[in-house]
Amino acid sequence: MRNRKDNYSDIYDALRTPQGEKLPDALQPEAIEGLVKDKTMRPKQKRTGKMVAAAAGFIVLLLTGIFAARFLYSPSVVETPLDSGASAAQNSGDAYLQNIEDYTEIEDYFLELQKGTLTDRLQGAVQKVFNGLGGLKTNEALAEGAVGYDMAGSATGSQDLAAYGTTNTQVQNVDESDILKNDGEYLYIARNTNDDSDAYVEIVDIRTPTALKQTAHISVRDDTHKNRCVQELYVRGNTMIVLCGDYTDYASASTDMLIDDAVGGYANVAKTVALVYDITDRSAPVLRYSYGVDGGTVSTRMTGDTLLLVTQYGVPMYENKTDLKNACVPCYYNGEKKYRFPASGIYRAADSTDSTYMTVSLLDTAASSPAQKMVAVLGGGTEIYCSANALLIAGMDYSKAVSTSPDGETTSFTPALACTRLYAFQIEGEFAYLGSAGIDGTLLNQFSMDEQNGYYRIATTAQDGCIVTVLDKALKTVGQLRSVAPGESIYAARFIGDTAYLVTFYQTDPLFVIDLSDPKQPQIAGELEIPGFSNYLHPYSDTLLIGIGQAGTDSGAIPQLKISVFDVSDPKNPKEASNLIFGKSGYSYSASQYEHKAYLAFSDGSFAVPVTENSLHGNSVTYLCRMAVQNDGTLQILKRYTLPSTHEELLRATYAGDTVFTLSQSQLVAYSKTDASVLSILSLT
Amino acid sequence: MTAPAELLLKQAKTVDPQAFGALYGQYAPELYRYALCVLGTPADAQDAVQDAAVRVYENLQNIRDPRRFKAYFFKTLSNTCKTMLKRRSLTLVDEQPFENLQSPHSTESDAILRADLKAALERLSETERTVVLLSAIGGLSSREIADAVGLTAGSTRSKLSRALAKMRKYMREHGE
Repeated sequence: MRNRKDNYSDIYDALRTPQGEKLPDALQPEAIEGLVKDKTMRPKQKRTGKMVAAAAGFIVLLLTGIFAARFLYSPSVVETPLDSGASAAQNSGDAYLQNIEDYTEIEDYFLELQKGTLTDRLQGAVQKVFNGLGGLKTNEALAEGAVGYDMAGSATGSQDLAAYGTTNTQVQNVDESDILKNDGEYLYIARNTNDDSDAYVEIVDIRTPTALKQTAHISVRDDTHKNRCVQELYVRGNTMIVLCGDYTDYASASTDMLIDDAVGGYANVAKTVALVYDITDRSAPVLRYSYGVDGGTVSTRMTGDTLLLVTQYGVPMYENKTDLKNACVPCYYNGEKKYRFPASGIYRAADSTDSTYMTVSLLDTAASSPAQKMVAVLGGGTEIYCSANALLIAGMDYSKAVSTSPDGETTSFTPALACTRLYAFQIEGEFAYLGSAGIDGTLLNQFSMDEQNGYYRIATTAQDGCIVTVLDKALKTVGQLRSVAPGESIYAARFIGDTAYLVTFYQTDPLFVIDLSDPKQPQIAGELEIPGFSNYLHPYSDTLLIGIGQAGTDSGAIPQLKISVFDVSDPKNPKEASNLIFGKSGYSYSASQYEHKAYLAFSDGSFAVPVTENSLHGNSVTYLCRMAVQNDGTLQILKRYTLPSTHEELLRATYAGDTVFTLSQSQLVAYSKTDASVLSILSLT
Repeated sequence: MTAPAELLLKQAKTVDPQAFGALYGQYAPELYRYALCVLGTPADAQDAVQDAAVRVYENLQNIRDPRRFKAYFFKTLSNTCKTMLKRRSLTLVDEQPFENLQSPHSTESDAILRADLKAALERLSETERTVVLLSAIGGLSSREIADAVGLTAGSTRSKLSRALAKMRKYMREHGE
């Protein structure tokens, strides 16, 4: 296993070497033995075939529900929501998922869940989490935060950009929320203060770069919403949408809850709220409406005026039957009024024992009320891919990955056998659930899914290597390429037109070029092996890719930022045209390795990413590095915009005309694009 | 010679406190050290480890895989410590600097860590510190740590490398 900790072995040794502290007598094994003697062990979970399936279902519960919305602590009497008359998706379902008949069906289901050996199931499932499932992306090598970039619908690699910076999104014309938005005249910044005293959006007038003006400060908190935090935002014309999380603090064990509090104890999101503002007067935004949904945000997108909001709601298994009935159907909130999702919009799998919903809402942000369409699926999803007309939600399916030994004593979990389950929705025109499909392997992230010419393309990592699957609109598999780089892990995947690029890594980084021109026969066209790896791939032009990642030697990766230019003009022979390694005298990294929104493209063809360099002499510098690729393929640094404060992370950058802006935790800085001189600094308190 | 973990776990599950004690004993020094680094005082660290030991014991029947025992124990301990820290400070926020939360120093806590290491750890957020200590002292994999703190394995790895980079930078800047 590659060990990037090699460079920190001295810190590790110093941390783990005992400094002569003595284990107190009360913590000696004999003392602990005495302590537990009179404690009761909770009974063993019963092992039956059904239980394993149930446990597998509960794995989904835990990995999605618990990590997304667990421990909803509510007062002992749960509010009774109103029944809604809102419109829902029109489809009774398919063999996998069925629309429910009415609320009673779902309430009875949850009462049954509760009645069963629920505590034991949860305990067992909780143990499954402890037994190595670890979070939503369980394959250790998967989750380097690898991303790719989809240029579906665009003939060339360069974007047709306005003269100001916009969010680096996966699909053109499908916006993604971010902490910083720019409309050319104003910047919109979503911020939670360090001391948690406030959560707000700051609107800054940037028309005079030497004098940045704070135009509006909109706090999202009030007496009723003391724990509200901002997540990200959208700005479209004169509408601003602020996405917030309403947190509930789970500070201590509640007798209403069955879940063992040894598993958690964190503040978590009870519901996600979209605040839609009219910002025609930038100095005085007016709230048009507020729409909330139970559960934590999975992801959002915006196409035109329509906001897509996907959340995950784990039903808290209250002991009190009335509370459970009130909580077992996801709710949405129009202002402060709470409504249940319409029964006609709730689906569940026939054999499922899930208790987590995935909710999908479509809101009209141009109207004075949300006019929402919505659907809830009992079963989790964690990544979404959204194009103008299709929504794919991917979740994990662990049923093949859990197995019990013949004597029923041991349950093992093999992450490599986990599968991905895809749910498809039509979102253009009529909002409809189209169906689902299962695919071997686990997904990386949003960039591992793509839609092109009526086909879906998905990249997953399975036990026998990496897989690229092509499915038709009905989610039937039409073609599949398996065993790409067996034994290796995908670090980046990217779909451009008829080609997929995969970066896998063990000690060196093979870049695979996969030809998808025939959907039935995806095949490897070419391969390039270089040291190090890329975490993020960005199309620079028709023939050039930018790779942002780490440098490497023969024995593995080293913690130095490497930016590569890949020449992919000949798919059979991808080449590294040039590269730049930063911080060679020490170590370095870029936020854009793990966050695609930290990558900034300029309309003149240059691009910029945050860079932090730490030299061995103890100097550290963080700057925005603007670069361009020359005609001969050489990557050239054009300008460095240095952060005045060296202790902060450079979160985002943007530009307007000849001014470049950097956003860090406490500052917004404006620079001249041409000579990098600081024009003004705005402190964010 | 200590018995292999597998045998001990099986034995412990037959409601054998002594076997449990022996199993716990294999990790006791690391558990205590972890709690000391997080909580700062021997008294609190002792409470935390005892608390965690009881919880682990109570749930023992459902731990199938002896290889997971250590990660499970550390996860339970890390949660116990987090709860204790929360109780100490009502305005606890994840990103609050360490120094605001620490209880009065005792000479023993100063001796646990080298001064520069301790200072570097204090610069980290609570989550960053947890991730570093679970990795260094607990020896947990990033997946196990991710499970313990409620992040994805990828976020954990990036948090870990950022935290270590921060520590390194701090230690270089403040002389060694």
